[in-house]
Amino acid sequence: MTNLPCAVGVGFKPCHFADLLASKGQVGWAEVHAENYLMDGGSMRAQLFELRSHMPISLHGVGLSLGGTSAPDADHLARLRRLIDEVKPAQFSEHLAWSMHTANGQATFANDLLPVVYSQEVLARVSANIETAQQALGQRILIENPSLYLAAEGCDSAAAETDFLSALVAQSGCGLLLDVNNIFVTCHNLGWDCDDYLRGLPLAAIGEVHLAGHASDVDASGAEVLIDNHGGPVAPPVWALHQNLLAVSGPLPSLIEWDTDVPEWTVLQAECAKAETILNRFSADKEHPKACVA
Amino acid sequence: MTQQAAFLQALFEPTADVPRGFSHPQKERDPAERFSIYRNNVVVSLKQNLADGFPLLLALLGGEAFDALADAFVRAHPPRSPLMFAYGDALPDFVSQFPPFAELPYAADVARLELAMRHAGHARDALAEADLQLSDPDTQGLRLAPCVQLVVSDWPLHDLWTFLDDRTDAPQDMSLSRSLLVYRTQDFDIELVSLPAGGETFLAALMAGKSLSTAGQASPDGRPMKETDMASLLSRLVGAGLVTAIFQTKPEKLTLTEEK
Repeated sequence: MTNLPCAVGVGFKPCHFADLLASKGQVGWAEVHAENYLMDGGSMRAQLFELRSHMPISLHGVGLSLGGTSAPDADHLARLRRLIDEVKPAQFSEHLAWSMHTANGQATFANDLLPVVYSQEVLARVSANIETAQQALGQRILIENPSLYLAAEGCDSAAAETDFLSALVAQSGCGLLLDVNNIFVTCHNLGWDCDDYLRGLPLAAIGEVHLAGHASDVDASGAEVLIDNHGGPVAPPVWALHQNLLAVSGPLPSLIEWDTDVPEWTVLQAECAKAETILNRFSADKEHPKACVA
Repeated sequence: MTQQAAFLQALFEPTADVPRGFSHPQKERDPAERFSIYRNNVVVSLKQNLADGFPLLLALLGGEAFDALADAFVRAHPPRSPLMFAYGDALPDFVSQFPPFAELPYAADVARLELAMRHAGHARDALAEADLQLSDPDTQGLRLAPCVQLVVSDWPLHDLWTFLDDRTDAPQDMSLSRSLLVYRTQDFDIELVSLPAGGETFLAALMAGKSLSTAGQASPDGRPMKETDMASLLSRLVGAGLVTAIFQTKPEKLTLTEEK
């Protein structure tokens, strides 16, 4: 389901370039946001090509707006295809979300991953959008589950989202990028059950896992709201959920994301080491003798 | 209006209702408060993008004034594409028309300088041809690397940049107009060069594909570039690998004939 090595990866930050290359044994792959590398030339691209010669790269798109009302932008798909042809990533992934909307011939990009209504009509549209993207990019892509603060009306359990994801996989042939932190954040914020969520997933479709930190806030009613800010260490219940997932899925390529208040490399390295310990526990499992299920 | 159109509009309007179709599954939670998380994420991320992209303007204006500018800008000019590294092209013109900054007429040029530095940094990589031979300056022009940017200004931009970047002395003479050549080195550093009198006209003519002689004679303001200044600028361009090729210009007369 993926060409990523069954190892721990890290969300790449230019400030960690030298340290990451020095940690090649421990960190098996790196992920970058594709849209940050679509300029014509310069240092960012040069650094990515250098990194590419040392480890597999996962390109993570944040701008295709596959959950949008209209088809993904053809120019943007062409730009991404050129980058894919140059970088030859081990994997390309995008989101179950929308971020772009065109009205009166003018597009607006919200720079955020906005929630999708889980209806049959939307399912057909998102599935068609994913197929368009897979065709243009020349490969099967992985789709990431969102972190939610609101839900579409009627979505009162985790099944609303896992059923939608399962149907997307079946209809479009895409795989899943399962963000375990997003599961925790969404379930906490909407009152869904994390175990229900794991039980509802099409496990065989998962090709990659994301792990990240979240922030905590309190709303006017006194309830705790979790914000998916990628700004700290992975929380203990998210590590637990990662273990519970791998216990049923087998080992999967697992990525540490830390995008705001980016720490020193040693802090990120310690997070990677934690993920590696969990991954190794399941890699040694007799029921999963192969290195990776994906 | 479609559901997503309404959602998008509500993101940029602080008092808009929760877009239809969305709610919170738990009755005791306020959907409006949860929706405001999306609104906050969007506006904060766009403003942060501008702060990251225009650090000198931020230093010039200070945090509070920059935040007010960014807040007005993201609502008037939200991004039109997912290429966020390019967001803010319209900011310099917006700054020049933003009433609170009427007392800072050079603020827009500082933003223009930052855009030029960004464009230099993101421009296509181009290597100079090994053998650059200029045989006839009357008919040959210089092809400049895509990273070469010209910032025309009525203000001493280089001094302003040094002041804002290093916190050194403030410019002594704000009436001293010095346009800038901005480019990227082979090591990906961004260089700024103050142009001598007549330099901006000369460089603009070269960039427009004029022959070297024609560019050297271009002086609409009656201030022809000194020969020593021109030699020094050309030497800088060649030395930095910014002249990528010598090309034959079209004869001026033939161009006129073609236009008829």
